[in-house]
Amino acid sequence: MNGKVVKEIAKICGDGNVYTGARALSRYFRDRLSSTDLVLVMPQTPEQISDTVRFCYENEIPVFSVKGRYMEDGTLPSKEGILIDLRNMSEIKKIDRENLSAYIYAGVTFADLKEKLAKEEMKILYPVSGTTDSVLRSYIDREMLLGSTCNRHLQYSIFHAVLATGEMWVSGSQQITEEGHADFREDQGPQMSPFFGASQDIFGIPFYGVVYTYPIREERKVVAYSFDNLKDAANLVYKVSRSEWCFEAFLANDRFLSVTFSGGARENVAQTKKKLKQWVAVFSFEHHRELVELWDRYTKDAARELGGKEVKGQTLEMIDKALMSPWYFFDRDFYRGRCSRVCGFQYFKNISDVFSTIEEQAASNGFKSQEIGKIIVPAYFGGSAYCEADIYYNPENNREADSAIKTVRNSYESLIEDGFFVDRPQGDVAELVFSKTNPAYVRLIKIFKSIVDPKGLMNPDQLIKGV
Amino acid sequence: MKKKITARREVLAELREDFSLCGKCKLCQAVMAQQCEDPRFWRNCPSGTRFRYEAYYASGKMEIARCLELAEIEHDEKMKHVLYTCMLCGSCEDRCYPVKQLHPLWVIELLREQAFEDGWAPIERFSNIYENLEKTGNPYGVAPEKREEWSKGMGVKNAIEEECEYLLFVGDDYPCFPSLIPKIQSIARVLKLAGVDFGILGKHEVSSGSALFLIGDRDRFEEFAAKNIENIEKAGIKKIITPDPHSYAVLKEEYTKASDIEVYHLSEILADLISKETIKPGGKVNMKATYHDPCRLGRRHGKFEEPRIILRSIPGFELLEFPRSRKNSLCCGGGGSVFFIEPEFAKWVTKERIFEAEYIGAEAIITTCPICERMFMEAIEETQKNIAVYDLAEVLEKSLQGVI
Amino acid sequence: MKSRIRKEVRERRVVHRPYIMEKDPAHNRSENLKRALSELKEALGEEWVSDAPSILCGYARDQSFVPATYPHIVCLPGSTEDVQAIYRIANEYLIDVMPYGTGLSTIGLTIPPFGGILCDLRRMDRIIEIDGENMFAIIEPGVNFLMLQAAAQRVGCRVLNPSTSATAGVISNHLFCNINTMASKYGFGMDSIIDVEAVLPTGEILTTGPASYGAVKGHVPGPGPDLSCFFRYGFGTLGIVTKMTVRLYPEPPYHQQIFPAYEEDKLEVMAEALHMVAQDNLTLELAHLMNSFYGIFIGDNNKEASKVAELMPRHNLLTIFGGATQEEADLKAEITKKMLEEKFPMFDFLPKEALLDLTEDNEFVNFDKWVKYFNVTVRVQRVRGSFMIGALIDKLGNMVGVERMMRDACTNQIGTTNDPLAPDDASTYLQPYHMGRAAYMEYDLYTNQADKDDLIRILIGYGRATATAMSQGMAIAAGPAAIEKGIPMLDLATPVIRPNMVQFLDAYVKMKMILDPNNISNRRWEYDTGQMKKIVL
Ligand SMILES: Cc1cc2nc3c(=O)[nH]c(=O)nc-3n(C[C@H](O)[C@H](O)[C@H](O)COP(=O)(O)OP(=O)(O)OC[C@H]3O[C@@H](n4cnc5c(N)ncnc54)[C@H](O)[C@@H]3O)c2cc1C
Ligand code: SF4
Ligand code: SF4
Repeated sequence: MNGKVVKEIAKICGDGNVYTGARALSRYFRDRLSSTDLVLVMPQTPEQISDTVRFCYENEIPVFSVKGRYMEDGTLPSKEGILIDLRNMSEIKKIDRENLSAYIYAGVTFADLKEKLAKEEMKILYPVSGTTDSVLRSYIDREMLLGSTCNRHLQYSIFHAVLATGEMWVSGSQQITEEGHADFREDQGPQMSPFFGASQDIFGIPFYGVVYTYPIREERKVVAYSFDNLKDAANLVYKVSRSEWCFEAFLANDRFLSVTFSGGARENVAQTKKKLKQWVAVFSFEHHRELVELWDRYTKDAARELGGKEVKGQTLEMIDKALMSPWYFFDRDFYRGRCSRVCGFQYFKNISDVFSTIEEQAASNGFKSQEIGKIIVPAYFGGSAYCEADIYYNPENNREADSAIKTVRNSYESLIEDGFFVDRPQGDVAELVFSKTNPAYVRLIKIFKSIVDPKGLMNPDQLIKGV
Repeated sequence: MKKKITARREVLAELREDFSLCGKCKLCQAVMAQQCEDPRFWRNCPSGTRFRYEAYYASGKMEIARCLELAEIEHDEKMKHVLYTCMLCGSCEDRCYPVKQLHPLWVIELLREQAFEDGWAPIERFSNIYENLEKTGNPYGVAPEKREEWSKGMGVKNAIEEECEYLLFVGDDYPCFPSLIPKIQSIARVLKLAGVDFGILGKHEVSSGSALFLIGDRDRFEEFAAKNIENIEKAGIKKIITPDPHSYAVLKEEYTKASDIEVYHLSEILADLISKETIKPGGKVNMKATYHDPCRLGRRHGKFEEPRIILRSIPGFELLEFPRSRKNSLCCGGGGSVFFIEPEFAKWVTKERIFEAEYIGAEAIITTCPICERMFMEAIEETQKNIAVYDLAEVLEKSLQGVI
Repeated sequence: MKSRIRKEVRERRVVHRPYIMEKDPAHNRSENLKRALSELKEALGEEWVSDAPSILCGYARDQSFVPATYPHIVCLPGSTEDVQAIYRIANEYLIDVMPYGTGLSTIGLTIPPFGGILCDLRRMDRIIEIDGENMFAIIEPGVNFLMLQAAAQRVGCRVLNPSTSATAGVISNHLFCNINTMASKYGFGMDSIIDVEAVLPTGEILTTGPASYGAVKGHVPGPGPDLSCFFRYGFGTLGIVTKMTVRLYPEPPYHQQIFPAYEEDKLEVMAEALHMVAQDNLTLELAHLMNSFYGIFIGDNNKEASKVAELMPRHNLLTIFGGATQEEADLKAEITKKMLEEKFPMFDFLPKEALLDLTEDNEFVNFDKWVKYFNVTVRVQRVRGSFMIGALIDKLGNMVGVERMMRDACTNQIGTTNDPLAPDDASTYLQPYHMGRAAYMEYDLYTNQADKDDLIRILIGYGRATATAMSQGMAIAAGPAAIEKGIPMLDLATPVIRPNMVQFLDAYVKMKMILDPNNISNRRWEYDTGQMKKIVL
């Protein structure tokens, strides 16, 4: 890009915060980057983002934002423009123990916040398959959380985003009251702030927000039950979620757990898997001691009835520990080099159909079904189930990589036919989903986009091609 | 000018506090919330349910009263329809009064009277009943002599000629419809079995005036009331039993303003006799049936328990309750004299009530009002439903006689 | 006897119907209305369209103090296609359209400012699907809480239940309000909307969420941007919602309650307790009720309400616990009680028997039905016919002193002494949201609509109380921005007093102009001048 532009931006953000060239950008891409003309900007203050974006708007320069640890090459084809990474905005502005909230900038990571909250006897909910370590990003992008079972709200109330023009979008009650007052999620009119959720930042870039925190309770206990078949295991998970006994709940197969719990060491995977039965249902109970005991007892009874075996010892410890931090999707790459996934929502009663569909597709592309990682997390007391299937493959092997891509695409195609709800579609899947939605749906997105970004410079093509 | 009773009347304007305080909370459109178990049966205002505009609910009619008073609107055709498709079932009043202390039903009644006063009541649509009343003294055009035919050979006293403790005020419907005659005969037999000393006015009984009262024609109503009172006084009887809730309501509410009489509904007398064990229903009546609360008896006069005391005392009888029962009872479609001018709508309501009875698996509907019975029988005949309709007295009689 | 209806007016034959306030209107012209009427009749069926004054008048007022205005035409659409037809015809003849849910908003929202077509949606009253296992119900706008709650109970679930009239439309309530006693655990209206089908003012159908492509109800927003709550606080300016999937919540088979109470008039203490219980998150239902609210909630009628209010302590916590077994429900109650006893030794815990006695004669709200009452029933019952609701949101900690200030401000205006208002004049209740992270404060003043002096007194008192609260930073709970647009002074003042609102308001205005090019759907301000022709709020 034109050096003058870079200079101007450097003037706004400071020299040390603006980078050019493929090397600077390579950390965002797992594949080798084709040539790029993006300028990486890492603003440190809201004013810097706002001024940078305004400058770009005035000069018709496209603005992209970093949305996860990695971007797929191809989604940002050597475009001209700037890429904004908010990692330097990492201030935790306020922790409000009394009102169970943290006021944070987008650069604040799960690790940072976890540490700070622990001092105040609080914690947060973690993603199951996170793609970013920014807490705010993860929450506004509505990543599925461990703990979405019995903690039903979106995990933030207010956010501030910068629009394409450099102006600020403030959501919820802060549209009319000062911070520290209501800090309530609701907009002061038609609810347009939810448009920003899982939108690939096409409307604006959220950089600050208020996220929900949870008190650390008197007692916490994690239990696990193993099963030979999915049906009984799923019934247990449904029952415990529906009865609101657990804080977190999930059900995963041996492959998923062995990859997740091997601490990134490939050699441990097989060993870990050996210790596991095919399906493991995990629950955490949190609260007053007597209640935890009661819920534990009820769950044990229910598990026994369904033929579950209690998981103990090292494996349980491993699970317990794992629940104390976020689970990142990119952390599963170590196993075979790369992991692709199919994820979305189905009713509990249809879970096995979802996985058979994926297994069928996988088999026809040469993947063994026991090689697929599977996890199910109940949403809203078992109202539906988040189902994720992970395909591990070697990206260097072109045939295998193609097969993985094909498996994922074909699985989505046939699952969507059967009503699989894909809540955060991206890339090709987004194209597929939005071609199926009612036309007014996309039209409304386009209208809002044209209002907040009349020149179409904010994350163009990131959600839907041409928008 | 004919003789009339002279009781104080209220006029609409006196209820200004009611119609202008209606909070539009719309509680009057449904059954009592705490008692709604089945979403299929949440509605309780027949006219609102059928015609749906706000005006057809009580809250809308409160508004009509207010706007008429403010002279924002004048009467129009639709207003007549609104006003004369109301069943006067009183469900609205029962929802509203306890919480808001307002009287929507009363407002509606006075609106009808106002329509008469102001000369826009759709009197032409009632011309038939006016003619009948003029000619025969009852709205169905049955000759006075025929009114007493049902009692022939039953040994029922003539109250004017013979001395008796109670007058059985038969009302307009029982003696005028062949289908109801077995029912009034059963009533008379039960009273005799129970040892009640009663007589009837026979051909001297004219219409109670209930139909006129309901359509808002107070003047004519008062003429009929005066005539009946004259005969009652002639018979020298102070205690009146009537099996007809419509007669019961006007006798009790209006006649007593002009005459010193005691008025009982048949079910009160029978329940009392059963409680005192004067009569003991002994015969088994194997029947799974539901009891329909007539609006004028139940909601209007709070007689919910008496009929049930009677039914519960009958061995073998299984009493089912409608999802909408007692205060939540749905009108049978025969209320408010609506069936005279909107028979199709009235029947639509009846069918809904029959559906409800079928829904709970009742073999029969028991009630204690001739209009309800007639509405049910006609609709059942038309729809060929397999459900029976009995008067309360008929079921009791079966048991008293040991008939299975 | 002659008519006593406004005899003198009638004699002068003055019939004044308060509508059409516009001089030389572009919209709602009489020749167009005539044509529209006949086309509407053709489209919807003669029976479901009316311009008879006796029908129109039922929609000209609500319980608010907004001056009466008549619609020109009332329509009762029976299907989404009917709603589309209404918009088509309205666009063709430039006639305003006002969606009407139940007309229960206490601020005159459904009174059509300039007349036009009022679209009473109550004929669309189907529960299209209810699924207890997956916990959702797909409903039409005519479905009310009474109906849906009964249906939900049958499948082992419950709906978030506001304490408004049982006949309030579920959709319209979710589009405006839905403040409920389960909000601490489960949330409020926005949290329960899974998806909608709406007709946009151009007649185009929009489906959102899972309904956008016929997917299963995933209980999370999407796909991508969450459009499902777009119509919430849109007041019908952006289209008409014709279907909604609302979330249902598990109904535990067993319940238990405790009755913490505090006699002293110290709201701050009760607010602290409320906050503690909310964070503990064991209650299904949780609210603070002043004695007068208790009366209103559990008395069968006003007399009983007053009796209850007199007998109950000043401040009370309403708590209901649920469990899969009685043991579980009892344990939750016991733990909560112990916690409260430790921290608030000055509290009384009313014995169940006391409540039993109090409600013994009640026909509908006796103690056996206590739990059912709160979870199943909604109702409106106010001591003096009409009332003003103050609906504010803030953090519980911020509210406490403010409530006292509000009462003082109000008393100065409407009371006779400096004492806080008596409970039958005004009442407060607090309702935590999301484990107490924020809370709703309702501040009600009772009045008699028929008594003009009383009305003015209450209005001014209410205004002062609300202004006091807002000056202390509290937010109005009813997202009013969409209807403030066009109010001259407010329009000018917004960028200065609420700079954060500018972008939002601007987006709303543009959205409205694009989605409703002819400005027919609840027209409140003019596109060309940006002003209201008539102040409607
Ligand atoms: C005594 C009383 C107590 C109350 N207590 C509570 C309470 O505790 N909690 C609570 O949440 N609320 C409460 N309310 C408020 C009231 O219940 C809500 O305002 C109400 O549910 C919304 O009103 P409505 O359903 O009648 O809708 P309406 O008043 O008919 O409509 C509200 C708005 O939405 C628009 N609208 C309606 N339907 C549609 C549609 N389908 N598509 C698009 N727009 C539409 C209308 O045009 C209007 O602008 C109370 C009200 C009263 C009278
Ligand atoms: S008549 Fe009574 S119940 Fe009906 S809306 Fe008016 S105040 Fe409410
Ligand atoms: S009396 Fe019956 S029909 Fe008439 S308005 Fe009241 S509830 Fe409806």
